[in-house]
Amino acid sequence: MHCENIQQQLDDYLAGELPEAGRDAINTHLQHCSHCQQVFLQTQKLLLALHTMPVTPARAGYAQRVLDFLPHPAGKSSLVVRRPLWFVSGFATAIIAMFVVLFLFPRPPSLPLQRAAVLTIHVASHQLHNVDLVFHSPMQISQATLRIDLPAGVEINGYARQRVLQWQTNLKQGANRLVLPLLVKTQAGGVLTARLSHNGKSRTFRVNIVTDATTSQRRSMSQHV
Amino acid sequence: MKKKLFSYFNRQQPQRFERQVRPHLESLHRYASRLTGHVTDAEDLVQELLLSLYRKNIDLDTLDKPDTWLLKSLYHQFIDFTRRQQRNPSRPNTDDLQNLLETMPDESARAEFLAEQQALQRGLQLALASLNPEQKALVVLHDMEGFTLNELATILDTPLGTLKSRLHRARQALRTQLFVEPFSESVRVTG
Repeated sequence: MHCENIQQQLDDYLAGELPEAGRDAINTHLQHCSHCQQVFLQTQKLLLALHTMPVTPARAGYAQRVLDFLPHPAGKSSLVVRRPLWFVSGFATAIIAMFVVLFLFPRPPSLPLQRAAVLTIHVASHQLHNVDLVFHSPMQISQATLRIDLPAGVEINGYARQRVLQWQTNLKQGANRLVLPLLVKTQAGGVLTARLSHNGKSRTFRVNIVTDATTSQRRSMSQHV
Repeated sequence: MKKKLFSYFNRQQPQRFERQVRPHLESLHRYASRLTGHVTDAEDLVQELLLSLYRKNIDLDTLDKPDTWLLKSLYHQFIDFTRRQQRNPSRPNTDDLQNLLETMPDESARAEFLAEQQALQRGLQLALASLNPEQKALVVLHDMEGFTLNELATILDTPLGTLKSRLHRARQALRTQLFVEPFSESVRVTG
């Protein structure tokens, strides 16, 4: 039997799927052919290495992350999908206005780098505040995913007891304003996060909510991130 | 009434889908990790698969063998995923693997056998990345995960003979990359 034929049957031989006559023929050949012997030993080593290859464990929170990514209709679930109703063009006066400029793309060199993606707002508890998040995009983005995580004791008006809201939306080039009517029910405040994802890239922005019982004036803050 | 039912269905579908897929998430990650060779890509692959199944409103409870059905779906998703990555030269998998190799601890001094196995497995990661996705998936599922070729013929809807020859070529390619030295007798040019 030729070496080529032998090597074609080595897989079946190693799997124990050759009839006795075939096995005998290969055994005889291997005893006399150093080249096929080498191929046989290499295949054995290869199979052992493949069989014992360690599995990389999943990263912490994997299951929740992949499930959170699924769209959910408004209702019972902790994740809520809404049409992108809140994005409107231009700027408007709000009780508390926070202007956030973000890029999912490389930052233009003209933009300062020292600004962190964290802003602090001061609010009075048990009052409704319109907080504007303005996402400035350098280009049109289709089907971006926006996720808002609220701290305990902070609600979006009309979405009682819902800590996470997520939906898909389109961003146009320029400013895209999202108005969040926030109701802070405790003195504790907390951190609101807004995560925008698109094409495997994402950026998270944090809004540090500080309650201030003495705050009675409306504030406006404008900041680039 | 119809609208009400539709609304009810929409509210129930996410919970039902999560309940159905949750028991399979671990094995899906395991296969995806083997197939992609990278933990982040594995997560992306599973995420893409789930999103695709969800949008198609797949009801796993109606399937006889949801685990093998999911494996088959993951396989097809992986083929698409790899083709997309190959079209996108900004994400070469081999770079990721190279990074992985550089950070892996070197325990080769402890025992010769372990050293050889480790070196082999490191080289194997790179060699696997060079296979075409169909070959790689077959090696992963057969040689690493232990599915028989007969099982895979059913799961992947592919003739047994095709799988056998695909596996033979894949192993041959891996052997060539792992064991053939650049100046060994078999490839040395004399004259």
